[in-house]
Amino acid sequence: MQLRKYVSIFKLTWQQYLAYRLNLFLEVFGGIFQTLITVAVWTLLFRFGSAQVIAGFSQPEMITYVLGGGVISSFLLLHRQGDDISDDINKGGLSAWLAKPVSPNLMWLAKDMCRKYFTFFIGLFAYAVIFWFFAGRLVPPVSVFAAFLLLFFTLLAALIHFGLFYIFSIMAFWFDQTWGPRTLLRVIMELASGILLPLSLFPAGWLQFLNLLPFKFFAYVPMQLYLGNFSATEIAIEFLTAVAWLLIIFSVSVVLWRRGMKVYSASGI
Amino acid sequence: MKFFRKFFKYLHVFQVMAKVSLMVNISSRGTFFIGVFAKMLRAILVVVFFQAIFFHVKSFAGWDFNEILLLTTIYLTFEVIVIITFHRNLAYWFPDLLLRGEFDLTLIRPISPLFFVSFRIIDWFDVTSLPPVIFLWWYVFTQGGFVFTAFDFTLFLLFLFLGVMFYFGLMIFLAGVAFWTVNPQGVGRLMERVFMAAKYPVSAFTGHVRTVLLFILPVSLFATLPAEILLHRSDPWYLIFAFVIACAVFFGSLLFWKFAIKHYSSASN
Repeated sequence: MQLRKYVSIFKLTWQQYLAYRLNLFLEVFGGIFQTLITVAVWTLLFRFGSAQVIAGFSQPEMITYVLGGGVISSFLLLHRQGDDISDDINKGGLSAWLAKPVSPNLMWLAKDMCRKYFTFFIGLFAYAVIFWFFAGRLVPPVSVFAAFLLLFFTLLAALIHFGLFYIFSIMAFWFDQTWGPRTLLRVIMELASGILLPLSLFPAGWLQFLNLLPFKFFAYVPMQLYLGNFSATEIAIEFLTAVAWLLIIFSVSVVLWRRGMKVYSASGI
Repeated sequence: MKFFRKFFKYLHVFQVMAKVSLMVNISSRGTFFIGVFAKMLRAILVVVFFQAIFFHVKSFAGWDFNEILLLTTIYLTFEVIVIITFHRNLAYWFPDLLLRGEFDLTLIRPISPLFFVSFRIIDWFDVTSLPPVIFLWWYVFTQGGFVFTAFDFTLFLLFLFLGVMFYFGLMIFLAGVAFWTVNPQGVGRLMERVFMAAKYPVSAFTGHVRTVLLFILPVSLFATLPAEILLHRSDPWYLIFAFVIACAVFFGSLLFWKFAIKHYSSASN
């Protein structure tokens, strides 16, 4: 019964996005263009460089990694992430939600998941054509289990992604604007997620540091799982790390939300 | 005399708009300074990105690390120029002005509507992101091992200006389209992603990708061509092409803007 409300919100948000589908499509298409340029760059580096393997990646593995990372980024690395949460708090829209029998947090989660699913759906069509074009040069998943792990960890990544932006967005309880911290998050995420280039390309010190952050789950970890580059122990460690990050994010969110509600003045109504 | 009077009038208006933008920006100091830090970090991460690649390869299709650094410096300089001034104004804020019906007020002001909508909001976040760019220029000049003559530098500045003019023209076209479409912000996002391709040396690509980046979406005008001028690698024929295409797009866009304004039927009540 409870879930039906959020399914309805999901459906309504879907309808809203359908109205602006061209905008989202162009944004996703921009990401695809960027991915194709990255593929061209790596093709070039392999062609003109003497190395057959760069940082543990052969050319087909690298192309697969970049394209796979591109698919994930098509629904994770979008602009305006957290704008609705921040605006609802700053402009008083939250008050209307508080008066309704729904949890604003679950409502934002449903909306965010809808956005991710919608852009993934758009991106998938475009990427299907690209995958078809690169058919002979891509590495298939090492096993069905690896493909499942990719999907499972991508789902965890989507939740971590929402949680991180949620924390930075509800800072709107204390600040007029929150886009500064969210921009900072996005900037770090672009590099630290491994979407632009695999983290294993970084020197050991950097890699160690980047491994401590949750951003690796946005591309590096799912794609390494797909390529079968992690042992069973490493998979278990990555899973526990992801769950630990989710728990940390959830705890921080709860504390911030409770404190935020105490200072919320419903301004802007 | 009349020209100078007009020039100083517009310069004064620009100063006033810049001052107002700064006041708006620093009204939320916390997010302003975090945003500034994020922008500075972003510039640094572009260098880190190439450094990570150069840990594994000796050259980037014939470009050594210092040459890539020069390219990156020019790319970031170009980006700062367009982002501070007209990019967001035309891609995002002008369509918003149009949707809210506030553009009509612009038309009755004793000032060029195009000038007003292009420079209405000056993005101080990016002005304050200049230090890494200045540091990179200092590094390139003193440690890069390059020898630039006054002629090289003059030609470089001319073609950097032409690149900006070309991009300005593209953005005016995009803004003009907003008179007919509901919300063209997706095109702005697409342009941003396409623009990111300029951080790679276009001359390094081959085949169709090279043709696209040289002639169809000539992002080479933004960074590669100015860098090639300083490195004495530019093709005279391509310089002529760049000059012609930049002028054609810019002056063509002005005609299109006039056409769009003539067909604007007002959106306010």
